Amino acid sequence: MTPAPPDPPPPEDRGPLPGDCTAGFAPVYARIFRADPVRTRRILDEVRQRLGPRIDGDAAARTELVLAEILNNIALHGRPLPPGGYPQAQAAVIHLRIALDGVAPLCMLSDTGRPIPAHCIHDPQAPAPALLPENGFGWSLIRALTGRLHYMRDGQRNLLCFSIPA
Amino acid sequence: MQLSASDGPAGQRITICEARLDAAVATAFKDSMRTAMAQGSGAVTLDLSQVLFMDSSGLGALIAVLKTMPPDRALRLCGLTPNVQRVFRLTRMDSVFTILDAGADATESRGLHP
Repeated sequence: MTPAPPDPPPPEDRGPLPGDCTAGFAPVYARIFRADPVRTRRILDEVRQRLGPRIDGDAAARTELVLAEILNNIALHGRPLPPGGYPQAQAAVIHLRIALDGVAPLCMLSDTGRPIPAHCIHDPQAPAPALLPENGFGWSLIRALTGRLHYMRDGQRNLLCFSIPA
Repeated sequence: MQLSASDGPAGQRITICEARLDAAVATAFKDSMRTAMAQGSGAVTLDLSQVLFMDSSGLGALIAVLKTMPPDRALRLCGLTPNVQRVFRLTRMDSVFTILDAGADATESRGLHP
């Protein structure tokens, strides 16, 4: 696997983020990067190193799984789609912030990809095991592992906030 | 994707020698499994004891392997670590895989139940 090129700072991701649930809590991690599976591994590795000494190992592992599912979804489905246009070749830009409310992680993810379908957030259906589905598990896993999950579309970006129960 | 394979009285044992089974290696894992399985026979016991993290892409790759098993070869999983168990439990895919617990796996390895 070849290393991904460095991230250019995306102008659309600068400035205050409305509804950022991490605001006012102890910051642990903040990065801006483009979505791809190899970089996702590196980001998750950094998050684990930051959270590991601060919180329970099981909560850190649940945080890692939720972030992996969201970042994989953005890399797979999240290429920016301008109104009436075709998906852009370049992957979405992700802004990730993590803070701690005591020992409970709070995460804020914004990305410049396409809107997240409402049913993913509100009513994710896990596929039936007997059908041997090879995908479609992501959002039901995310819902099962997160506390307060909040989604909003802000202009051309998604904003997703959630907590991981301690 | 690093796998190690050996043949024993209970069939072929394949060990995943990686800490992560995730979206970055899902395709490589399926390819490596196909290659490893072509060199053995009988039931396949897949040892996941070194896998400390698995996401739904890794699970999907395991399901793809299960679906392509020849009718005369069973697939069994062993050595599931807590984070891997969690993904199986939450997706209920532990209902379609044969998962050996630690004791059953040790018995099988000694060939007491061929």
